[in-house]
Amino acid sequence: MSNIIYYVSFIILGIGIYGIVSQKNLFKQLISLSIIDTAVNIFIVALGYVEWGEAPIYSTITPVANFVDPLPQALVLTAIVIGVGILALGSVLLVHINEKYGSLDPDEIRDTREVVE
Amino acid sequence: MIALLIAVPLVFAFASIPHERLGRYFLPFVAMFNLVCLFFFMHPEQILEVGKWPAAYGIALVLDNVSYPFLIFVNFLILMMSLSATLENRYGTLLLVLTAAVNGIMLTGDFFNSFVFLEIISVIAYIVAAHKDNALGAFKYLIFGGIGGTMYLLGAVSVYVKSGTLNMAYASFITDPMVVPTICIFFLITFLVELKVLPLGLWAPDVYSNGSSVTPIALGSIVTVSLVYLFSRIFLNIFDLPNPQLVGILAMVSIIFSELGALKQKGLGRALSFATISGVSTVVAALSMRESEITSAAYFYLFNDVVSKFILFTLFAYLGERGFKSNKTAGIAFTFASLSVVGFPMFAGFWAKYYLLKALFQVNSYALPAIILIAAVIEAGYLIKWNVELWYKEEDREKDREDVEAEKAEGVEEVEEVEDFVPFGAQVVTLLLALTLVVVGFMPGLIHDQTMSIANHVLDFRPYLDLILKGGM
Amino acid sequence: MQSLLLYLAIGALVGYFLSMINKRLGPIVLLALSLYGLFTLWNMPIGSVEDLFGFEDILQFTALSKYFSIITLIVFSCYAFFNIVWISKAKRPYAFSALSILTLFGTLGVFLTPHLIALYIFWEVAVVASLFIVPMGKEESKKATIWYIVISSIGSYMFLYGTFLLYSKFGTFNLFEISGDIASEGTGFKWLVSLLLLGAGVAKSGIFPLHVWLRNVHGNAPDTFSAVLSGQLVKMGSYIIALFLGAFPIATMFSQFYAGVNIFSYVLIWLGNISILIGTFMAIKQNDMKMLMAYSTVANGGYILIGLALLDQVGFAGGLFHVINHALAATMIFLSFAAVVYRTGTTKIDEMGGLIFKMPVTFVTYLVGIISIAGIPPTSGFVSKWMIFQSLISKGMFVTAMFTFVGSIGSFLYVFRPLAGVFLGQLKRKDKDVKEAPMIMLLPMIILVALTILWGVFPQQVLVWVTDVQRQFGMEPFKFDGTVLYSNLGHWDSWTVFVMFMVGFIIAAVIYILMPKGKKIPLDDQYTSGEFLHNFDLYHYATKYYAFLEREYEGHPSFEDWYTSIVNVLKAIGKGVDYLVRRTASAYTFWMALVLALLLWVRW
Repeated sequence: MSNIIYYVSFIILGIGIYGIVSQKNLFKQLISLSIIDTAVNIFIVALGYVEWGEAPIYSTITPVANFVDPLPQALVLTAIVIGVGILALGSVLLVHINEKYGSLDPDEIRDTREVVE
Repeated sequence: MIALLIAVPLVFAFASIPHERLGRYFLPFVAMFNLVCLFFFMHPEQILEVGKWPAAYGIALVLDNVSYPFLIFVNFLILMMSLSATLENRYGTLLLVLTAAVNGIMLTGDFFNSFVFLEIISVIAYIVAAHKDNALGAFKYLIFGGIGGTMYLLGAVSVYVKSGTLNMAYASFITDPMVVPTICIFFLITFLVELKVLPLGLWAPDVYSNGSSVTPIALGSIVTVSLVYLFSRIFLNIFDLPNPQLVGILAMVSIIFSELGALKQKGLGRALSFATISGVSTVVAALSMRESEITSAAYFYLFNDVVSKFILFTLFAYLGERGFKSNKTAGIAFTFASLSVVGFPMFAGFWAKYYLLKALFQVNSYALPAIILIAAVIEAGYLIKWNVELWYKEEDREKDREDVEAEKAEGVEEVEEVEDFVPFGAQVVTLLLALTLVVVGFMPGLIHDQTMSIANHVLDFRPYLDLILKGGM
Repeated sequence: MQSLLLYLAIGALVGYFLSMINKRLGPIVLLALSLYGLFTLWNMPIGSVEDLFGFEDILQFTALSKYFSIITLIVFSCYAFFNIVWISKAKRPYAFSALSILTLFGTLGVFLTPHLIALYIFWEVAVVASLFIVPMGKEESKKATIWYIVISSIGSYMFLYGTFLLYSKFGTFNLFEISGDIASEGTGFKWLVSLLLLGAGVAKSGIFPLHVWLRNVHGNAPDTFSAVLSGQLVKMGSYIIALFLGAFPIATMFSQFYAGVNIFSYVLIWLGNISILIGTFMAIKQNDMKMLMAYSTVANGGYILIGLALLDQVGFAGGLFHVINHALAATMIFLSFAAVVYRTGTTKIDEMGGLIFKMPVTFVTYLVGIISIAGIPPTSGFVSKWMIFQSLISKGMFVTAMFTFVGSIGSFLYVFRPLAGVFLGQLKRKDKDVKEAPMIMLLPMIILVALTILWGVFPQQVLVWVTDVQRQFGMEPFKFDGTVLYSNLGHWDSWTVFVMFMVGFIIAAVIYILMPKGKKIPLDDQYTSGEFLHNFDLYHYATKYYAFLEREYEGHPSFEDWYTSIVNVLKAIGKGVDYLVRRTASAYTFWMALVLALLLWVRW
């Protein structure tokens, strides 16, 4: 059971990499990057998972319990925030590219650039 | 105390948000403040445990003999850049955050913390890269850097899984022969991307050649130096570099191909970008040898390369289509910097090459010196070509300008602009740096003593571990 | 020595600022420094050792240093003297003067130190200083600068690599400390080191295959600076060759190959042969007088190399003697060219003519210069060529002797071209008002003429310097007694020959005076028979002067083109790199995956 989650994250990672390599549209590449991020995040959370573990909160009910590792979750929170930031930034850049070249297709952009140069 | 280096720039960054141009005025003072702090109030070998958490659990900021000189150098570069670059609108705020992040990445003793700082640096780097309407280059960098950053995260988490802590010093206790190389390769990919070693540094020429006075300096000088620090910390101090020979070969291939790329360029900006790739690749190739003399020489080489490229890129940004005839000061700084890059005697570059070659020959490494010298021949060819072209450009142009002036009577304004095309700040800074190159050229000991001390400390893991253990457990 | 170098370094700055007051002060500073240097070094005892800027015993005054420094300082004094007037035509007089002084600083430094790194530093100073003078010349001189720096860098980086190789083996940079131990090393190492170290000399003295820069650089540099380039900077290369061939026990390092000459020297001699051949034949083709002399420099570099590589009593001395001869002759010729250009404004041979009556002193300078280069007595050029011939013949190296002989014949041909084209023949209409060069320009030329003839008739002084060098390197010194020179095959008395020549000259002069004078007619009439011509230039007999010879080797391979195509191949690779850079992020990811795979694969 616990291994499945690793496989899932690797499959998603593969999808992301395939997306970047195969897709021409720059926005799709950005989304693929975001997918890779997600895959890595899933992987990290899975690392801290303990079979039948509980939320790592001290209380009177669970003074000593089978806690899951809280640190990866904290890390993932940060990583997610950073990922969102990069996604937003990438989108801004794409908007600029679209304004400048009128397209997000690298072939068309290259044509425009050659005309400009 | 050492947290101030990160906190003060951040505070001022937030303070500058209400007004667009405020950050620009804060930046030099913040950099100055950092330098003053470093020189007078902070001295190596101290550790700060954030929130009083012991090092193994919490984040520790470490100021040791390796990070101290690097911090001084980087803050000095920031100060210089704040004076020389033309910072528009919110770039001041951005660079304040960059200052915080760069100081942070050099102080932190925690892998995840360094990942966060690395990502902050990257995000700012993407924005800075997009300067001068260069969104496409910045986007390429973003995809490349994004994957690189993910690799770093994977590496950091693997360290946590294996050692139970994110602290850099404790990470070295991982001895599993299967795991350590894997972790290192994750980290290595990030560094190869960020340090622009060629197959992974393909983003750099498009980004650096945008003609901005900020991008190549913020990325090529400041970020590069801080990442070389992190590279040495991780691969020389904590772990062993995986496949040092392969990394060396990659870097050597990168040196040659980037020089060839530079040779072909018709524009100065792209040529300089390729030259930067070659310079940093040389440093990486030398660092991969893991030997104290070579490491010291590599830092010397880095110093020379960064300072010279600072001058070259700044002047390129202001130069546009003009030559040096109307501005001899700029011309002299440019020529000095290019001579130093190639490694002619009487400049710092010569000693960088001298120490590097000497150290390499001492360990009977013959391939890298040959590559460096072949690269220097190519470099000499195109850099001198650019120098000659820029020095003797005006003669043809003067005629054109006369024609233009004859056509429109109000050409007076234009002429004035041409007379003084480099802002005063940039002129002073480039001249100062050029003089630094000359002074170091005559007294290499100034830098060599420092780099030697860094190299000895960075290759010796004990002091770092002791420092952290003393404060920890 | 230290103080001299210090004065020169300061002098470069002083010269720059004084030039701002008056342009002519720059060359005057250089002249004063050169004369001071000449005076000090002439009187300095051989074997003096000094510190330099706190480095102990870096400077060492050997016999070879003395010989080359004196040549250098003579050339520089004349050059500086000449420049006092000429500087008004320089494009950037301040920088020109300052860089000239710096060039002298660098070259003297090279001659004064056996410490290889210090030598390299001085070498590069000389290169950089001269590098920035070159583009002050003609329009093409900017391209020439690139040729200069690239070929020069190839040479000097070979030298640096060789230096560090030696250092890694012996742990010292002092040449004389190394030279004792090197013979016991492996054959491959010895070959590699010797070739690398001599690379700098080969590149600098314009020996095949690194000769291509000379035509561009000497031909396009500022006119007077060509004199320094050809008369002096090229000799820096000869110095390196002489130094290593002399200091290293070449004869015991390499096995004997042919006629008592070891294999390494033999390779060098063949490089010299090819240089003579290329230099001579290409010089015949040139229409630009400066480029012509540049190729002549290639050929003479070949002579020097052959002489030095013979490494025996007569040949080595001949090679060294040829250094000073060619230095003086090349300086003379280039200065006379500079004077001609100063007055006429062109370097193309077929755009001039008949200047003999307008510029007689310049003509005489050129004449003596070419006589010396062609090796005709009574000039000193004959003595050195005679010595090299003697050595070759006595060893039975007839093929090389043939090459040198062809080179000599060829040199008659090519030096005659500017003589006939520029000074003889009909005067161009545009040159009707040309005057003789100013007195200050003539003086250094006259001094050089006097020296060449003096040392041609009385070569003792030079031979003392040369034999000192031979003694210091442990060779059997060349034998001479007064004006009589001895070799294995015979002897030569330059005084007798001079007297014979003078007698012949006087007889000819008497006949000339006694015979009835010819009638002077306009020169055009001689070949137009009074016809009206639309285009005089086509009928100028300097146009396509040696067409009948050039035809014979028209389709010769050009190394310049060949090197350019190598650069183009490199640029094509660079274009490939650039193509990769311009790809999109998806292609980048492919590269990243590749590197990752490589890293993982090599591990396991």
